[in-house]
Amino acid sequence: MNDLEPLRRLWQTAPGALDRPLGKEDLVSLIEARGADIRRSIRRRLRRDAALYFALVAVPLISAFDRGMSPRSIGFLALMTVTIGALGLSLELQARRLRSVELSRSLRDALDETLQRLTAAIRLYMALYMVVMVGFLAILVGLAFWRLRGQPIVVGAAVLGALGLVWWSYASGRSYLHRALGRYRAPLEAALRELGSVEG
Amino acid sequence: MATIDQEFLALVERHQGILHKVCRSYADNEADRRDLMQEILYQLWRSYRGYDGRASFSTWMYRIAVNTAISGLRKLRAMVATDPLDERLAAPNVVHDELLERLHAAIRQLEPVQRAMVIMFLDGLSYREIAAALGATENAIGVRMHRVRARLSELLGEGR
Repeated sequence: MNDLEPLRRLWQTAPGALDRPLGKEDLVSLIEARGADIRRSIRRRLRRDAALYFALVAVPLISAFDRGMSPRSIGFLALMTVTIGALGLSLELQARRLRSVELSRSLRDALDETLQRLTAAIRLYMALYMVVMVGFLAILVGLAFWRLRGQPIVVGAAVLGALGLVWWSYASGRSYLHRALGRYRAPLEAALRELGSVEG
Repeated sequence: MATIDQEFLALVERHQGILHKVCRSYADNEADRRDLMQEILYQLWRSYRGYDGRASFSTWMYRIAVNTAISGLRKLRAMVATDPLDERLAAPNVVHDELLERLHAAIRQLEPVQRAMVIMFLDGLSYREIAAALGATENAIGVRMHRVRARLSELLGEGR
């Protein structure tokens, strides 16, 4: 490695990238700012999720109020709220798992774990998204059956429309997840392949 | 946020050159460098409780810095506006040394894992330490370093 020795000396004597090193106060500020960024981004995502779930609950809620609150409609609303709460919690836990990958281990272990957690998160997001969409559409189709029971053609069209929406939800959900999370898989997989070639 | 340990701050302050070197090797522009620097610091602080002193602090720091840079976890979060205090990391403070600039430019052209190998090697880590940090065998690192050295020389030669 003799030809790299001058570079090694240069590298080891270089003061890094800055002529004014960061002091302890700078380090504390940077760490605290990152912590605040993370908390802010979590709050923002929770607000966005809550708004989406509220919109999903709003339709049956208005329908229930329209017909007057009965024990059955209250039970239904409670069930929906609990289901949606559980979905939100599952997503939050998955996001937390993704943020808490142990980075003090070897690069291979860190990449493996990140990739596994990312894949699990993508699958869970997709499954929950489909559960919510299919559940929502099932409610709409159920309402259509109930209200239009004398008109089989209209009900048939509603069922076909709902099936089309399920397919569209699946395709758009996949596409969204690919854009939002899937593109992070490629560099992880590439780095793992590169590590594999180190051994090869 | 929990109080930040003074001993941890002293260690990071002493070894902060590692942070700058890793950030310059993995981030292409100032904004990205600032973001990576902040994320590495945060991950170091988060992981410090588990630091058992078996490896030297600089080796442990390299491990977390490189893992953070390559895993891209920071990009999984929604990007938020960067705090203005980070401006101290901006370009005017950068020390310019022509050969060092060329070396950084050459390193950035390597594959991510090769970059990690080179910067750890240049900073004096042994093959055993590099192998442990990457999760490879010492022998494999030795063989691969031979090729990386040739590639680095080629890249530096092109820059002349």
